[in-house]
Order: sequence, then structure tokens, then C-alpha cells
Amino acid sequence: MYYGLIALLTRALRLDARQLQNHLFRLAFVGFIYLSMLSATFQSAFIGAPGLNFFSSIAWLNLLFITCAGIGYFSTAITEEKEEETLGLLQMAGLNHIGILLGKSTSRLIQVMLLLVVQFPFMLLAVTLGGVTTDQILAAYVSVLAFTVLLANLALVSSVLFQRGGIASGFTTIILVIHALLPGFAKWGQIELENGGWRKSIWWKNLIITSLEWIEESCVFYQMQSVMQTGFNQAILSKQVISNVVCGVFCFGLAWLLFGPMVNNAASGGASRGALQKSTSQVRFLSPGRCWSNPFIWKDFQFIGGGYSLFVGKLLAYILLLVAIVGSSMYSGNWLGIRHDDSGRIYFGCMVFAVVLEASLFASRIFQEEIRLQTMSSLLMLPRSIPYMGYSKAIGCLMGLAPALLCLAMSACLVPENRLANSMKILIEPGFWSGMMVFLIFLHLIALLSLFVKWGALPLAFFLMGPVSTCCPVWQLVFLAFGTSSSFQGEWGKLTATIIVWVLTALVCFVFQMMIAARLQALGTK
Amino acid sequence: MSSLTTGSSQTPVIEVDDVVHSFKGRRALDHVHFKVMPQSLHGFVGPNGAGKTTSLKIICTLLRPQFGIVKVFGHDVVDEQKMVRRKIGFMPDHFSTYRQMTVYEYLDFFAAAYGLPFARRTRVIDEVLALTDMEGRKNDLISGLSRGMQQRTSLARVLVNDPDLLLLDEPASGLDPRARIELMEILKALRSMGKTIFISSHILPELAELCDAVTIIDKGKVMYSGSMSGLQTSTNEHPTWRVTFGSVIEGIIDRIKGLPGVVNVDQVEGHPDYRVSYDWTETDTNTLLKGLLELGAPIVGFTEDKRHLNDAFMDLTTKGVK
Repeated sequence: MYYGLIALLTRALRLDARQLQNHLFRLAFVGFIYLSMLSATFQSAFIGAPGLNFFSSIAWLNLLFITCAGIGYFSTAITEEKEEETLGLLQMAGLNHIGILLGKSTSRLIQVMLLLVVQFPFMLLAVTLGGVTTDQILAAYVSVLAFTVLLANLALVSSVLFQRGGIASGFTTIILVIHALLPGFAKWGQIELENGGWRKSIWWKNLIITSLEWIEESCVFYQMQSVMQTGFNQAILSKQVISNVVCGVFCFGLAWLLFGPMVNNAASGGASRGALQKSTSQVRFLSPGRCWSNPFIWKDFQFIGGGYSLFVGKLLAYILLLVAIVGSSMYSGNWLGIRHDDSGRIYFGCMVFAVVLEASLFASRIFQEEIRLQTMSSLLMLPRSIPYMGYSKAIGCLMGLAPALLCLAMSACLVPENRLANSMKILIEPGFWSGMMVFLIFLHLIALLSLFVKWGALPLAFFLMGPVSTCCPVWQLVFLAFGTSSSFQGEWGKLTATIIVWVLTALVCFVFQMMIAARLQALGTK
Repeated sequence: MSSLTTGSSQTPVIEVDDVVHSFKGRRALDHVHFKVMPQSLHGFVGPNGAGKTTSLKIICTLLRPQFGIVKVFGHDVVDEQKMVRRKIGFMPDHFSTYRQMTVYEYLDFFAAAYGLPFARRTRVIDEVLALTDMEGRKNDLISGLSRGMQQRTSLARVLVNDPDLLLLDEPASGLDPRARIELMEILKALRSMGKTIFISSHILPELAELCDAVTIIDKGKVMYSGSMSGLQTSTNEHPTWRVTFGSVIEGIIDRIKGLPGVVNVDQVEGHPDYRVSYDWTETDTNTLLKGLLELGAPIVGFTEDKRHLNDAFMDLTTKGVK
């Protein structure tokens, strides 16, 4: 019993301790903090007490990194064993359910916590820069740690429930979005109840109102905002910390409870087609149909982009979002506080987020799927070049992105100051193209990283883009030059600057594409 | 199979000449040299890590040889990569399939990737499905197929561009006996269509029955390359034939041993089958058969004993170990 309980956990921790790359990664994280601190020290010459700025940027980066990386990392704890059909072997080796859960998930939780713990002493140095207190730093780290416990165990439940890591990650993301939206609902609910004359006089009303108060303060994102305010003076063990840890423990128990029924009854070797149907099904129009003359565009549109059904589904969902935002803005008492004038801008923001999210997901899958299914050697044998395949696949993904792009274009016209005439002007703005360039580099980086790491290319790219833009400020200098130099003033000056950005973008993307092609060739011949 | 044409070249289909290839200082191929003749089924055997997969990857243009020349249908695999790729079909040692696709979608994808026009694609896919006996499973998801069926799907994929040369890396690995036998039947059918098949495998008895020629490789060196019949003499083995009588006959072993050139006779336990080995320098198969008939016992079967590939494999590859 004892052996079965902690054998896998001990093994995972030993393995982590022995692997040099894990320590190097933590060292790199600390190194990044050190560089940021150095930057903050220089800033102190211009602004007073930069400690809070420095600390808040690192704390938010930590939170975003853990959220993005954690979704993939924790959600695949059990699904990777399911996909490789090795869960049966683990059980046959004498490991019980709780042992497997501890070994596969809790070990990962400890690894992420270690990442936070190693940076804590360095973060205390922020106090010397001024503007931040030790209590604030402690409170922020305790909040993030509690959230990590919640995220790890929430993802563990998803991992137990679903067969594929991608679906489990998607489910965890949805729950996290709900978790982020719940405080708003809770606050609105409290106001409505108070307006309706509810008081804590009766026990069940007291229970409901207290629950809403706890829900309102349960989200780490709101708690962090509160911690980062000057003069923060609250208890370190806040409602967010307690509720997150309790929910995390509850989720672990739930995962344990579900493990037996879900894992033992799971069908093995399944491969998800999403909403795609077979050509023999009743809803034939939802099937991928016959292959197009460019098979790579067809394949990636259908099997990565989601095909016709997801195309229509996403289009409807984005239009429904517009209707919901406009509808909410017409109701003056809406809990989100959306004003009618802001609805276009909010929808635009949502669509930018949707495009970034979808494009990032496609970039992480475009080549990763070929590696996972070991199809590169077969593709390399085709009388097609790697660039032909790569660009065709990108077009296929772009077609899957079309609903979001269409709605983004539509939303751009809804923003009052960005009406059609103004929208055209943005096309010669170097600032706009520099943003595009960063985004394109980000997508290329994700695609490249997905050829080196089994999971987590997206959060890793996100993390790398931070240090890259901090430590290599070449781009910022270029844009600063565009902004201040008299050579780049006026319409023609802007156009010249824009062309320079285009050339730079093309060069950087070309280098990335060469690296991707070389890696694909190497993986195909492996 | 109207669309699947037959290969007809008379020059060697594969010429591997003095090829050397190393990985991180470890020599995977050491001056490898062999030829594969057209319309033959050529076995490629060797222990794990002998260099089989490296050789196959070089032949199919996935790897560039560091030294030496490899030609396929007279085209250099380095300089004329595209020409080579159009003429060959390579099936790797792992399932290289899109598991979320149906069998038909998968074949359709590869047929389109080879540039087949729509109408021809339909015909070719129907033909390869018929050849691999997968017609009834064409709308099944690949992930739901058994290992044997997935292997057949991979083989069907290799056939969609109607290659003259098939390069198969461990196609029978992990298959149950039935699936293995069915796969071998398909290979026989392909050979009868004039395809040249170069097959790497560990299943020696089946290769011995199927192959016209064999190359044995060990530690990156070719230990033997040539016809199956030549293998016997090259390994100093005594040719062995299996003779089956109508019933067990007492004293027949001593009478066979008395025939000229016979060096060994042993009986298959409990059966009227006898393995007869002779010294090829003293006699030949015809003389042996004549002598057996003259013994006056009713002979119901006389076949070459296929054990020799096993023996040769063990003999040639263990020499390297020693």
C-alpha cells in the first residue's frame, strides 16, 4: 500500500532532481528576474521607487506563465498515459489510483512550485528598490501558489475525464475562464440581492450572501490587482488563498473518485476528429469530403482548422458574441458595465484576442501533429518540397482562422474612430506593422518550438518573447527611431518606415522558416 | 489492376556501391555493397542495429550517404532525388498514418499529394483497396483498425503512386501469424505484377520461402548478398532437402545414409519426414532424388528445407560477434 502510494511520486521527483535541464530552466528564470531587476535599477534614475513596477511585472508574468503553461502541463498528466496506453502497465506494477495521481500530477505541481520558490529570495530584493513591502511580495507569492494548487488539480480532473490532452486542456481553459468571470457574476448577484432587500438575518440567506462574497474574492487575478496596490494591508491567507487550496484539494478528491470508472471504462487508441463526420454518416455535409487538389491545404483545414462544421460554428459563435455585447450594452444595468459606445471597441478587443488565441493554437499544432503521428518520413518521400508543404499547411490553417479574421475585420468597422477611411490609414502606420511583426515572430517561434518540445510550445514561446524583447531591444530602438526621426515624419516617411518593417519582418520570418524546414528534415529522417 | 503497371527494367533496380555512413562517430554502414535485380523479392536481414534501416533510408533518399554511391533505377539518390522518389514507395518500420482519418481519406490524401488527378485517384484507390483486401474497411477510422489492418493501410498508401520498387522496413513486425501470412500473400501478388520488392525483416522462415535473393548485414557490413540458393554454398552449409514417405519405414535412415554424398539424415519427430543433407561437392539434388527413388519406398513429398536462411543468418551474424 505504502509502496503503491508514493513510488511514482518519489521517482518523478528524483528524475526531476537528476535532470540538469530542469535546474537550468529554473536558473534561467532567476536570471531573467536578475536582468529585469538590473533594468529596474537603471529606471530608478528616471522614476522614483521602481520596486512595485518591477515586482508587479514579474508577478504578472509568473501568473500568466503558470496559467498558460499549467493548462498544458497539468492537463496532460493522465492523458499522456492514456494516449500511450501505459496506464494498465502502471496499475499492473502495483501502483494504486492515488499513487498514480500523486506521481503524475502532484510531482508536476511540486516542480512548478519549486520554480516560484527559487525566485522568492531574489524578489525580496525588490523591497530595496522601494515602492513595495515584504508583505506584498509574500501575499502575491502565496496567492500564486494557492492558484497553482487549484489549477493543477482542476487540470487533473480534466485529465482523468478526457482521453486526449488537447481536449483536457480545452476543458481546463473553459473552467478557468468561468472561474475568472464568476466574481463579476457574484458581485452583480450581491447587488441584486441587496436591492431586493436581502440581509444576513436568516441562516440560508446568510449562507448564500457569504458564498457570493467568497466567490467574488476567489479569483487570483482580482486578488493580484489588490495586492499590487500601494498601501496593501490585508491578511496573507486571504479568501482567495483559502478557497483556491480547498477547491484544489476537492478537485484532487474528485479526480481520485473518478479515476477508476473513467480510466477503466475508457476506449483505447481513439483519435478525435472533433466535429468532423465520416462520409457515411447521416450528416454527410459535415464530413471532410474528397481531398482537394492541394491535399495539404485540405488536410490542415479539415483536421487542424476543424473543417466546415467548425468554420460555421465559430462564425455563428463570434456573431452571437457581438449580439451579446451589443445586447448587454443596451441594458443599462448590465453587470459588466458595458456602455453602448464601447460595444464596438470591446468586440474588437475580443476578436483580437480570438485571432491571437486561434492562430497560436494552430501554430502549435501545424507541425506537431506530423511529429506526434510520425508521418514526416512519409511526407518527405512525396515529390513535394518542404516549403510547398509548409506554406500549404499554413494556408489550410489560415482558412480555419477565416471566421475570426472576418469578424475582426467587421469589428474594426464598428470602432467609431477606426471607420473604413481610418482603417486604411493604419496600413501605413509603422506601429501597426511592428505589432504585426512581433505577432508573426511569435507564431514562428511557437511552430519552431513545437518541433523540439512534446507539449508547451505556446507558453514557452510566450515566455521567450518576454526575455527576447527585454534583453534584445533592437526592435524597440528601431521603432523609437521611426517615431522620433524627422526622416520618418509625414505620409511618405511613415510609408518608408513601414516598408523597412516589412523587410525586417520578412527577413526574420525567413530565418525562422529555414530553421523549421531544417528541423522537419531532421525529424523525418530520424 | 490496370493502373498498377509492371516494372520492366533490366539494369539493377538498386545499386549500393561502397557506402559508408556514421552517426556520432559510430559507423552504421561500413563499405556496404549490394545489388537488387528487377522484379525480384529481395530480403534484407540482420540483427538489430546492423544498419538495415540506415541502408533503407539512404536508398529511399531520406538520408544522404556520407561516402559511396547509391543508384535506384540508374538515378543517383543524391543528385536525382525527385526522379528516385517518383519510382519508389517506402513503408517505414512504424505506423506512419493519420489516425483521425478514415482509410479512404488517408489514401485520397496521399494520392492527391502524388499529383494524381481526381478521376484517376478514385480508380487507383479502388484498386489498391482491392489488392490489400481493405474494401470493406475503407470508411473505418484508422485508429480503430487492428495492427495488421493498419499495416495493410500503410502498404496501400505506398501503392497509390504505382511505384516500381517497394522498400518495406519490417512490415511484419508485431503482426499475428494470420496477418503476417496475409501480408506475405499480398507481397507475392505484387511480385507477380512485376514489382521489385526490397524487404527488411526478422521473420526468416517466411523470407526464405518468399525471397529470390537476400542480403545479410551485420554491424554495418554485408556478410552475404546474392541468390537464396547461393546462400547455402557461401555458408559452407550442406544443402538440405525434406523427403516425406507414405509412412514411417524402419531402417530407412541407415539406407538413406548409405546413398553417395549424403552426410546427415534426421527424422522429424513422429512424422514420416526426413531431413537429408548432402555434400554438394560429391553429389547434387537430382542424383539424391534418383537414389531415394531407387530405395523403393513410396515418396509423397520432396522439398527444399527452408531452415538454411535461419542457419546462415545465425552463422554469418554470430561470426561478427565472435
